[in-house]
Amino acid sequence: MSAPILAARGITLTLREKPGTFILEDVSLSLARGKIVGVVGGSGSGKTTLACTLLGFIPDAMCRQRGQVLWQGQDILAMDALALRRWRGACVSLSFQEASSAFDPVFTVGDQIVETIMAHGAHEGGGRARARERALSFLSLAGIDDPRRVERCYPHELSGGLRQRAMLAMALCTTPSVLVADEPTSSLDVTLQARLMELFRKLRRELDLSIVLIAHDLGMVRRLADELVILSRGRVVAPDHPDARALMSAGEM
Amino acid sequence: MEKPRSETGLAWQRFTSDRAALAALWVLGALYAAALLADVAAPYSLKDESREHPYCPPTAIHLLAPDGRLIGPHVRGMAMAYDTFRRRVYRATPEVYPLRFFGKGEPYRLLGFLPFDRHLFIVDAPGRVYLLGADSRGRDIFSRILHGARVSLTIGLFGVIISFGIGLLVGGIAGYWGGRVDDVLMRVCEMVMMVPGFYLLLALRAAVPDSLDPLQVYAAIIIILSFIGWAGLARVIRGMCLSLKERDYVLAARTMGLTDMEIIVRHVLPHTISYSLAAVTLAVPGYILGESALSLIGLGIQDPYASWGNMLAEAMSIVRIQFAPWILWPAFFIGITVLSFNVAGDALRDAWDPLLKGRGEST
Ligand SMILES: Nc1ncnc2c1ncn2[C@@H]1O[C@H](COP(=O)(O)OP(=O)(O)OP(=O)(O)O)[C@@H](O)[C@H]1O
Ligand SMILES: [Mg+2]
Repeated sequence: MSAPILAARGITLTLREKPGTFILEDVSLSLARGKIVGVVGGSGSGKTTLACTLLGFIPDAMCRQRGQVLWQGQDILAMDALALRRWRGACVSLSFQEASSAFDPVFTVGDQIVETIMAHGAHEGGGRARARERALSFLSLAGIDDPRRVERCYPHELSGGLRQRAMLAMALCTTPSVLVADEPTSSLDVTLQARLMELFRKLRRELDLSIVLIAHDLGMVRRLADELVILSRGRVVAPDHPDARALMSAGEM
Repeated sequence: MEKPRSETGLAWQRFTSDRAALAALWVLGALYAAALLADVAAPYSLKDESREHPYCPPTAIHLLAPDGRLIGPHVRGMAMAYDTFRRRVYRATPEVYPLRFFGKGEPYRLLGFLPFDRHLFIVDAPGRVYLLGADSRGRDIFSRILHGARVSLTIGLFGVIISFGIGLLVGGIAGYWGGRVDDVLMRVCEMVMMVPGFYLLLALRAAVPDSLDPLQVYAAIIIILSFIGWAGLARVIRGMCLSLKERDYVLAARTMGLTDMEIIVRHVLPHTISYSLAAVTLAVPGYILGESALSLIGLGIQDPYASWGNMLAEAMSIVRIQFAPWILWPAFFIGITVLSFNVAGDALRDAWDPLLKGRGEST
């Protein structure tokens, strides 16, 4: 197996206030280039916390006891702020679980995507118009049929599903090598879920994108992921663990 | 009209549906327009005075000539005399001086550059028109209020812009970065806020040399007032930023690799606008009053230049107010300006508030 592009090694986080409470305990995960790793776990098992940690954000309320996040072998938690900022977005991006709060309500969705593109120079020096074109193309890539309307909308004017796809478009618009998608399908209907799965396959095939796909049930993850990490109360558990079985059977239903 | 979609549009709609706020806006608009066009609107310039007319009461505008013929708006001559108690009295003389609208008068530069000599209304010398009466040197109070508005109204505006620029930036940085930076900045704020405003004003004014030309005094007052004003805002903005930086979209912007400054300016500070816009509007009166206070005690704008504050210096004696109550007119203008800013500021705050609540429910 090739060296992982992104890996977590023994991540252990405790609450700052109560150092005895573990939010993540010795969690490891490794993502090889062009692969999809599924992270599955019940509500409150620490999936979102893990996603943030993978991007080098330890929530303020928590404190890292041990562990590293490795980007091509380099510890990003030890990187300086400037390098980390360049790395985020350009190499790894995160699509949020709560798409409704991940957009700034003051700007249109299009403006925020354009801002991201310009911040990374992903419009190849073509000016604002070029960035807008690119934003539109990514909105339609994310499965939005009328990108021109969506682009001009304020976040609160979009349905939950549209927002979630717009969020995905924003995460992809800088063409990162790794996408961490936190429950990207939670507010989509079944057909859209299937389309999104198809999109992830396509992105992996065509752009060589590696994905950490987070979900609370096994349903779609099982069909897509090359590897599974099952989280239960902040720990990685084996597939025959009772908690893991409960998740599995929920997926069968 | 299309329904506005942005937050700003909605807030504006709510603001304009408030009658009192709209009235306040019109009053302020009229005052600022008058200040801008003071040269045209005022019959006399700042330098103009008439030794024969100290404390001349407001002139009556007549339509009928002394012999009863209709000759259109005009004023009569005014002759000063003393009555048996040696009090100054003015008697109308039979001379008639027609009001000339857009007549030629003293030349000036319109908006500071266009040479022009027309005035909205004027009478030929030696007639004098005192719409709101005259001061101790026979200067037209109406004209001086218009010229003084330039100083009094703009000092508030510029002062507020500067101090809010500083306040937003300092508050944003302190709140967003936190830690040591926050500690240092907040201690500085507290030091500024610790000293009672008016003493600080006096102390700072004392630190500035007396022999300044009027423009320098004007700039010095603005700087002094903004130096006092920024700290309070910075503290509130910092408090708001502390909670705003926890929002998901700030984290989202960080995951997308935006710089701290970009995030502060684009995704944190705009959310304080509901507060800061109202606070800005509500703060303007403080600056206007600050300038008035300085000028009133002779530390601000000096004669012959006018500001509403230094015009009121004449009204510091109760005796003078008794025989020439019209010298209080500048106080009236300060009053309505302050009132209008307060009404508009309150309405702005109300216009944004229900929106913030609504957004909370919809998400
Ligand atoms: N800021 C915080 N302060 C204290 N505890 C927190 C904080 N954020 C998360 N937690 C705790 O950490 C645990 C993991 O939370 P996390 O959001 O990662 O769960 P999750 O697996 O994403 O759940 P869900 O499927 O509901 O999104 C939870 O028990 C939660 O209560
Ligand atoms: Mg979560």
